Amino acid sequence: MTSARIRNFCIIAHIDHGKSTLADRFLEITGTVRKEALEAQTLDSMELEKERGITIKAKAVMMKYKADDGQVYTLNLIDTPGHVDFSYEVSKALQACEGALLLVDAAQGIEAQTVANYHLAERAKLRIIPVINKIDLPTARPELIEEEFENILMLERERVLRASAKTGIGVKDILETVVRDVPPPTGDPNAAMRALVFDSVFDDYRGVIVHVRVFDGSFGRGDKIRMKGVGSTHEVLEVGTFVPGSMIPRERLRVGETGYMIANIKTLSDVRIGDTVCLEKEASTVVALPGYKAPQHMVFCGIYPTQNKDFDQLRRALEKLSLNDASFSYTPESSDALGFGFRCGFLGLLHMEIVQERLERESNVDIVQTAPNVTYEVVTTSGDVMRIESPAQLPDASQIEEFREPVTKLDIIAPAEFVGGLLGLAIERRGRFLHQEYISETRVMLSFEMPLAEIIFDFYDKLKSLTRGYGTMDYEVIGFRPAHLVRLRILVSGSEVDALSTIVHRDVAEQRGRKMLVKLREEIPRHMFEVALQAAIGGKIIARESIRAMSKNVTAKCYGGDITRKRKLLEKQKEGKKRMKMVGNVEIPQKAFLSVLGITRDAEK
Amino acid sequence: MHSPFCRRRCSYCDFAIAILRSSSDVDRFLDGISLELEHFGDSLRPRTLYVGGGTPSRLAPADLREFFARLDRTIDRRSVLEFTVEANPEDVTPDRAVVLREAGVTRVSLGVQSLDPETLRQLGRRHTPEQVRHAVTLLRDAGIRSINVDLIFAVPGQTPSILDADLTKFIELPTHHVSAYNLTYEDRTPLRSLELLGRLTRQEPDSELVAFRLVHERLAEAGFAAYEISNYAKPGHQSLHNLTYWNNEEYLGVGPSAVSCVGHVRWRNEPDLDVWFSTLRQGLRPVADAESLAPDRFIGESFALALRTSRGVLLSRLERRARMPIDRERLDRIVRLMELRLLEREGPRIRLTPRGRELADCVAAELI
Ligand SMILES: Nc1nc2c(ncn2[C@@H]2O[C@H](COP(=O)(O)OP(=O)(O)O)[C@@H](O)[C@H]2O)c(=O)[nH]1
Ligand code: SF4
Ligand SMILES: [Mg+2]
Repeated sequence: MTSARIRNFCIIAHIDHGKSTLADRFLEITGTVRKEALEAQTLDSMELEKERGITIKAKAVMMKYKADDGQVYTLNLIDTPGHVDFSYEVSKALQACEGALLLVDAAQGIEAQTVANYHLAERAKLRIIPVINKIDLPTARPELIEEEFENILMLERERVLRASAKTGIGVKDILETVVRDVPPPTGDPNAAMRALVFDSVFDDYRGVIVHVRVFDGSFGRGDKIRMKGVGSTHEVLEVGTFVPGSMIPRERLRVGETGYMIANIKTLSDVRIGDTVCLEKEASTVVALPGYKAPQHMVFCGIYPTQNKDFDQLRRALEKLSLNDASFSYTPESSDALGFGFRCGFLGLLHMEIVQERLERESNVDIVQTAPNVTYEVVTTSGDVMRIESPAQLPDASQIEEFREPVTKLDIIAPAEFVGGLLGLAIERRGRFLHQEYISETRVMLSFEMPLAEIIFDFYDKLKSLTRGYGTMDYEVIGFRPAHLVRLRILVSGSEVDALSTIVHRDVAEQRGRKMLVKLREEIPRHMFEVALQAAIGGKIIARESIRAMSKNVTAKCYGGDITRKRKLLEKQKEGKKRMKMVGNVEIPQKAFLSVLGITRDAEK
Repeated sequence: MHSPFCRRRCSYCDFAIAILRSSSDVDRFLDGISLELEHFGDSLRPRTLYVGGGTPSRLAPADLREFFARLDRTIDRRSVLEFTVEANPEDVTPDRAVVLREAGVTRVSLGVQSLDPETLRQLGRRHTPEQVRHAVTLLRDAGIRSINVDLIFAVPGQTPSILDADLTKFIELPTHHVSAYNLTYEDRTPLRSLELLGRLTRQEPDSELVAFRLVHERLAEAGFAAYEISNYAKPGHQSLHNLTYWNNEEYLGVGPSAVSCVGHVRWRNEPDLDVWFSTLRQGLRPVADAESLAPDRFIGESFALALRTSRGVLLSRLERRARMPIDRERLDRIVRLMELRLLEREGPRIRLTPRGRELADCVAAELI
């Protein structure tokens, strides 16, 4: 088989626009999977993915397709994650392809994520085939969608295909277009072997299964390979290709092909997406494929067991999760308020939610999650650049020369009637308006520059409620910018509560501080004395509240010398206090920390 | 001594009581008392005697006389400085007043609780304010030296002005001692059930404090000094018996559910009249549970109790009695409570400040 009859392609689409359904149709038409055997949405294997309708891990399947020209083609369909939190993974999956189907729901139109992924595909120089899906729907308005393609993506109307993944209309046309328009892989079969790692999964029995796309040469069982970026060496035990639900071993993977490699690799952290696989003996001369980056954690949060005794169990659960997801990190940390737990880093907000949900599902630990924070950068007076992943790492204000925060380019697509409200929201969130584009008569795309910290703070919920659910957004971190950031300190009776300090923009510090104090006031029980609650920046108090002293706590006498009962009540009262955290003279219940820091999650829920 | 009988249960009461049904109940009670006292030999020489309940005054005059006679078989009355009997106002008849006087009772504690008809109804008490006045007159005429009246405040619906009017009536009574309690809502009482059903609302802590202060002020003005958080006395009328409890000293209890404390061991009798009696009949001690007070627990308890009194705690004496020095942690807490002006030093003693009295349970929980 020559690479002239191989087509590597992917589907990019907004959630629910029909990517999985279309993939199923392809499998059926090509006879890769019999219709009856076709479990709905084969490519999404994880339970969680099915429930959320999100494809988390990229997969690849190989199909044989006999085209109208009478030739049999090998089609490798590479599934990409649908969210830009995983944009690095998406870009690597795209790099493994020569073409992309840009799938848009005929009733919904282009959404923010579609645009973001389109730009990624364009940057990867893929041949893009626009497809309007769900044309069987009575609410389908394909002309309008074509207009959107033209206006916003500058794709010619004539090139746009129409299909229904559900009924099968137009699906064969799509495959024909793939065969005709997507270029076959290039590459030199005789050059030194180079393969791109575009994904990896962990299998309990076989260890790490590495997804690769061969760009030059070929390799197979018994070869000694080297991961160029990581620098590790392994012996290849097996290579092969995927069909849904199983792996087919092959002698060799050749130039242009997509498949898997098993090489006795124990943990996912030994494999980096974007890395280049080459032969050990040629390692010094081979030039790595471009664009390899270590995953960037932009969002952090603390994850603590509600019960201190569950710490080890939580650690085991995190270990297990990281076997399947190398892109999140966890390091032990301790908090005055919450005891021992972990600071976890995520690619983005959605990634964080996914990891939490898996943690709850797959472990039996009740966890407490603190409110997320972003990664900051501090330039110290001595010129060093520090990455700040937790407020506790912040140096003293006098040593801070410049304080920087991650800034995103945020795209929002929404019906035009909501523009006013969205602009208001964006300004409130320190957004800088970039531009506005009508993608059709009724829908608008707004672009902003906005601090990531503002987005992770319930922005998505606000957007959804403001646009009655019609708005979609996508963002991409574009760099760090200096900002007037401060460490907001919370003091209880004059003593600082470390666990409650946060980094906020100066402009919202008062408002944030007051909110926290109000919550604390509700949760800290009244004491024998008045308790002062203060929010401060450095030494300057910016908000205050107080908890009135308890008015009266004295009961009747102990009748007839029955002191035991009374003593037991008092002892119980004393025990209750032991479970609280002492800050100076003040006892703060764990619940108070939780209500200020974040949310409790119940494993049973 | 615990006499368990009551006519019916008051709404706030969770004591172990028995509703008096037949005379055989009384016979068993009297026989049981005799049996129980026999355990202690024939020469008990207490400083104080206290007959409580229940309602000792439910006993018919003849039974009451018989009861006192049986005490005399075991107890050497020459040592007794104070002899208190509890009575419900409606039970104080000329007959009973005579029995009390003849028995040498020096002090009667009346379960008055309120002189306001509506408050009395809330509390499930059956007597009228007139009955109270009548009882006090009868007792005084019978030559009872010291009369205590119980008062309950912070009853649902009791505004400060209702309480104030009630206090005026209490002060007008010619008595010597007032025990004033904040109403409590104990589990398994009718009061608590009504609260759970939403049929009544307990007072907010803030208004309870207002009531507590009002009681304190009015009684003080009238010459009743608070010698304990809930107890007020005219000069020379403090209850020696109750001081025994607060000073964590020794006492013997007899009767169902009575508590004893001797030599750092405390025990409690069977609360049920029948169980109590049949145990005694088998020649056994009717003890339901007992505990030995380790020095640390003894110290903690002593703080909780003695701080309730106006004299407070004498640390050196407490250490001597516990045979152990007071630990560092408690001393630190005492210092902290002094900084918070909840405790103060009075000569060699530590005592609650006026504000500390209002938060006495919190202070006690710190030191228990
Ligand atoms: N009517 C209709 N529904 C479709 C079509 N394609 C997909 N769907 C439905 O749209 C929903 C989302 O499809 P899915 O393939 O899971 O979308 P994905 O999130 O992009 O993978 C499912 O309920 C599908 O049954 C279509 O062509 N027509
Ligand atoms: S009279 Fe006293 S012991 Fe009897 S029920 Fe009423 S409060 Fe309880
Ligand atoms: Mg899907």
